[in-house]
Amino acid sequence: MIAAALSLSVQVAVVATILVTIAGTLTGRALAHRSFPGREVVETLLSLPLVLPPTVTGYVLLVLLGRRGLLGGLSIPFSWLACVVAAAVMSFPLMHRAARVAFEELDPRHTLTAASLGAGRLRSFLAIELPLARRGLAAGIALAFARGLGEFGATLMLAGNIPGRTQTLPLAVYEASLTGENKAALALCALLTGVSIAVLLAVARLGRHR
Amino acid sequence: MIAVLLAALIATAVSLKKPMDEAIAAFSKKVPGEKLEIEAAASGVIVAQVEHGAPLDLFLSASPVEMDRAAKTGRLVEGTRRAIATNRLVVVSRKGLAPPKTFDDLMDPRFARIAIGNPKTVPAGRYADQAIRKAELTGTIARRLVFGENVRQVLDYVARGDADAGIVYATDAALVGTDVVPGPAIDATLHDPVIYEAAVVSGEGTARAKAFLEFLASPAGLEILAKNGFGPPPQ
Repeated sequence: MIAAALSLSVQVAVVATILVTIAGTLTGRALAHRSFPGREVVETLLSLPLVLPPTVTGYVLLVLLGRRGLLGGLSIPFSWLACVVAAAVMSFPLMHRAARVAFEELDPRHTLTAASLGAGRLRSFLAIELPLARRGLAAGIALAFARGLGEFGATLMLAGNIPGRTQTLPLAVYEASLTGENKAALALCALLTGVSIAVLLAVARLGRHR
Repeated sequence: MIAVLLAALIATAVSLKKPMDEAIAAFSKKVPGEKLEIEAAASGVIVAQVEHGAPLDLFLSASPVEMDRAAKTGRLVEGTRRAIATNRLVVVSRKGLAPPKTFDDLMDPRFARIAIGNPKTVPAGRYADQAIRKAELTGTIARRLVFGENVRQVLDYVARGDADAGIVYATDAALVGTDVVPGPAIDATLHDPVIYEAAVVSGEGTARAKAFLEFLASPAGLEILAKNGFGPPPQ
């Protein structure tokens, strides 16, 4: 049970983090240094999963992605993909915010110089901005990974709790705590706590060297 | 001494929530001034709460198995454990699908996803799991099973169409609207008898919990359960 849950959790967190890294970097860059009417609204919407109860996010996802939902044809609930979607939605705001701040902290003269030397916006983004923002982006990636690995509420709603199929590590902890398997529950807690501490230490290091 | 009005907390299996709401209302009318609060969760969740010292005063379990586990904690008040009702299992299916005529019909591929309660924590799920094994449907439908965290969530999955069929209590199937189609009852010999048990958990509210349990076992209490479709406790 533990091996299956651990392997599923790692797969889900890795895939979700890849998706979130791409999406969050793009939205973070798009909203950095930008002021337009409704910017606050967009920013608030993007950050919503950070503050909404995960069960609310999970329920909304279930309503949207369920068979009779707006995107019902995708048949996502109760699948491996449901775990990925839940983890990605919940960790997205962390990546987005880290990326936005990282791009906003860049010295605008670098991009101006690149432009004056004839670099297009895409080239400037890839060759100048991304490398300069890498520490901030890496911190966002680490936080998103930890959040995805620990995702519980939305996963429980959208993916169910099916051992060997959608039971991630946090769901296994929940079940073990309910069924009186206290040793297993504590061992899983220790494992998750260890990973989380490692991630937070890595984030702190990235911040110090900035 | 400062008099503190302590409410007794009734922790009930989700399937008993509606009759318990009614029983609490009737009890409060009969004995004014007694404050009773209610919590509804899967019986397995409530056992974990009892094990970890949660301040609840009366445990209504959907199965003797969970009550046995609660008894092991030593927190149950001796002599208060009793059966209060029985129930049956039925198959339900989602609207827009030809409903199953028999339990075995669940093997048909049109039931691509079948929801039951998590057998580890939800008694309805355990009974359903027993019936599926005993009727030798496991080989065909094991991969199609999805688990709900309590019996109402199972119904909700079917009502929203995310599961094609589900196994729930007859009393739950009777409550839902037109989104869920009630189907055949499951032969009661295929699973352990569905017996609801109650016991007082020792704590501040013990006296109130005892009084409420007395009321539940009285003709007035049994009538509320019967009106909601529950069978009488075994003799």
